[in-house]
Amino acid sequence: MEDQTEQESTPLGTQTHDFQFTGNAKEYFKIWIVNICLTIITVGIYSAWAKVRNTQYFYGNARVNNAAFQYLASPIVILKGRLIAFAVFALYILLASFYPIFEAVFILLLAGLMPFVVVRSMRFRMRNTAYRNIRFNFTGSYGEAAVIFLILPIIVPLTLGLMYPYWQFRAKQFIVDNTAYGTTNFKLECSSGPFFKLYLMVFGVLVFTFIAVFIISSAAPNVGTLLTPVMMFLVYSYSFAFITASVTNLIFNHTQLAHHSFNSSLNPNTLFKIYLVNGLAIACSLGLLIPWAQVRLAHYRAECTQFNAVGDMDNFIASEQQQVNAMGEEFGEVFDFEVGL
Amino acid sequence: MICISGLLYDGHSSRQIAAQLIYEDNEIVVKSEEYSQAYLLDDIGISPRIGNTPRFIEFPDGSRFETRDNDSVDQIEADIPASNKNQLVHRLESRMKYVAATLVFVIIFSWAFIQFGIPGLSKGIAFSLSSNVSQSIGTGTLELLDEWAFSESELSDERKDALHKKLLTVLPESSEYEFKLLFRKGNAFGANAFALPDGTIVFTDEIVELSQHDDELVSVMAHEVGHVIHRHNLRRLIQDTGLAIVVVAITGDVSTSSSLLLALPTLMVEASYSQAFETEADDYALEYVRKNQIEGMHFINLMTRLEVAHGIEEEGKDTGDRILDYFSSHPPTNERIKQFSPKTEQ
Repeated sequence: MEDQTEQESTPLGTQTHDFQFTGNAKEYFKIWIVNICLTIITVGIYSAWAKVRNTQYFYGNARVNNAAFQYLASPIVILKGRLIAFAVFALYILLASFYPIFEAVFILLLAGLMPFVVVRSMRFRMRNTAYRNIRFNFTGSYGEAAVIFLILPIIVPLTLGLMYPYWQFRAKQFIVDNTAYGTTNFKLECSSGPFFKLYLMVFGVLVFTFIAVFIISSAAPNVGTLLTPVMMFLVYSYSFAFITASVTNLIFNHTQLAHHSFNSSLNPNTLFKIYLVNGLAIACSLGLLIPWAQVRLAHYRAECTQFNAVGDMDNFIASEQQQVNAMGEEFGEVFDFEVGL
Repeated sequence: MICISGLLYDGHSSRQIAAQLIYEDNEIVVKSEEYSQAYLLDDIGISPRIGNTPRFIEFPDGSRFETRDNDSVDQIEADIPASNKNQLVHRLESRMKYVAATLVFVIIFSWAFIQFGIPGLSKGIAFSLSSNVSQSIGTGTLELLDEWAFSESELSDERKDALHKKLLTVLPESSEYEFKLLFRKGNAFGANAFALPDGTIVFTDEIVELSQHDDELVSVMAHEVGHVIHRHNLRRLIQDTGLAIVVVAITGDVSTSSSLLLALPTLMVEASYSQAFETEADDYALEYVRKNQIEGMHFINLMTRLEVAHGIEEEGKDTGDRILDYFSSHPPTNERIKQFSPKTEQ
C-alpha cells in the first residue's frame, strides 16, 4: 500500500500533511476477538497483552507524513498496574457493601489521588508513544494537576457553573502545554474566551429544549411522556458530539509544535451520526460490533486532522527518558477517569 | 538473502532516512546512501506483527527501522527461535477458521458464564461464607432508609402486636439468622415489604392497610424470609460485581460513549438475575403456604391489589411495557400469580 499523503506547498513553505487511518474493521475484529478469547482462557491475565496489541493496531495504522505511530508499553508493567487497581477495586466493593458509610470516605480518598492519577497516566501514555523513533513526554506537575482536578472542581459549583468553561480550558491547556514531542513542547495558543462562547451556546440549546419539551408535555401530556425521553436523549448526545467536535477543533487549530501547527475540522453533525450509529450497532450486537465502531470513528477523526509542517520535520530531539510504571494509567482505567483531548 | 526497504531513524532526532535492510547469514546490514551499519541477528528486536501495521526493527544503538514489508520481516523472524511464539497470536488472527472458532467460543462462553457461571459461583461463594457475612452486608441500610424515606409507623399498637404474633410464626424454627420484624410508614415506597440482609424484615403501613386478610401478609412474610434464607443480598452483590468484571474484561478499553450503551445489556442481565431471586423467594413462600394449608389465593389477591396500587395493570399492556419487563427487577405479576393459583397447586 502506498502513501497517499497530499502535499500542498504554500508560498510560506508550509506543507500540509493529512493524518490517515489505514486500519479496517475486518482485520481489527480478528485481532480483537482473538484477544478476548485468550483473555478468557488465561482468566484475565492476557488482558494486558490484549490492551497493548489493540493499541498497537490503532497506533500503527495512524500515519502522518509517511511515518506511523508506535505504542511501546510493556504488557508486564500494565499487568502489574491492573492487579493493583483490581485489588483496590475489590477492596472498595467489599468495604462499600459491608459499610456503606465507607463509600464516601473512599470516594474522597480517590478524589485526593486524582492529580497523581492524571499525571501518571498521561506520562505513561506519552512516554510509550513514539513517532519517527522519538518518544512523546508529559511534564505536568502534581501541584498544577491538584489545582485543576481538585481545587477548580470545588470552585466551579460555587460560581453556579459560570466557571465551568474556564475549568475546561485550564484542563486542556494543562494537557497540551505539558505534552512534548521529544524535547519540544506543544503550546496551546488560545484564551478561555472561545470556551465560554462554546459552552454558552450549548447551554442556550439545552435551555431552549427544556422549555420546548415542557411546553409540549403540558399542552399534550400523552405526546409528552413519549417524546420527552427521546428528545432528551437526542439533545444530550448531540450536545456531547457538538462539544467533542468543537473543543477538539479549537484545540488542534490553536496548538503549535515549534513552528508547525495542526488543522482539525470535525463536523458536529457527522460526529453525532457516527456516535449514534456506533452506539446502536454496539447495543444491538451485544458488543460484537465494537471493532467496527472504533475503526469507523478512527477513520473519521484522522480524515479531519492535518499537520502543517514548516520546513522539514527532521529537527526534533529525543529527551532522556525514564521508566514510568503503569500504575497511574491503569488506575485511571479501572475508575474510568478519561483524560485526553 | 532478504532485502527490505524502509525508513531509518537514529533515535536522537526525528530525521527520516530512506534505507535498505539486508539480512544474510545471521547478520543484518542497514544501508542508506551515506551510511552502513551491521548488526547480529540476536541483537535486534522486532515488533510483533499486528495485522498489516508497519513493523519496527530496533537496534542496540537505539536506532529503528520502519517498514511495511511485513512478509519479509516474518521471514527474518522465522530464524529467531525466541520470536516464534510471538507469531502464534498472529497465526490465530490470520486464519478464518481459527477466528470463527474463537468467535463461537467467546459467544458460547459469555452466554454460559452469564447464565450459569456467575449465578452458580456466587451461590457457591455466598453459602461457603458464614451467615455472619451475609448478615453484615449493608450495616446501616435501615438507618439510611429511616432517615431518607421511611417515617414512624402510624399503625395502632394493638394491630402491630397482633401482626407480630401472626407473622413471626412464619419464621423457621431454628435458624442462623436473627430475624426481626419492623413496621414503618413507607411514604415514597408505598405498599411494600423489604428483607434486609441482617434478617430485618420491614412491612410498610401501606401494605398492611392494603391487605384484607392476615394470610395475605403471611405469604408476603414467607417470601421475604425466602430472600434472607437464600442470601439474596450477598449473592446479588457477588453477581453484579462478577458481571461488571466480565463486561470490562470483554470490552476492555471502550470509549465512554459506547460503554454507556453497553449499560443496556448489562441492566438486562442484572434484571434477569433479580427476577430469578424473586422466583426463588416465591418458591419458598409457595412451599410454606402449601405446608401450612394457607390458600394461595391470598398471595394472588394481595399481588393484584399491589399492582393496582403501584399503577401497573397487566391488561392492556402494550409491547413497549412488555419489553420493559426485561428490565424489571421482578417477574411479570401474572406469571408469579400462576404459580400460586389453585390449578397449578395440584
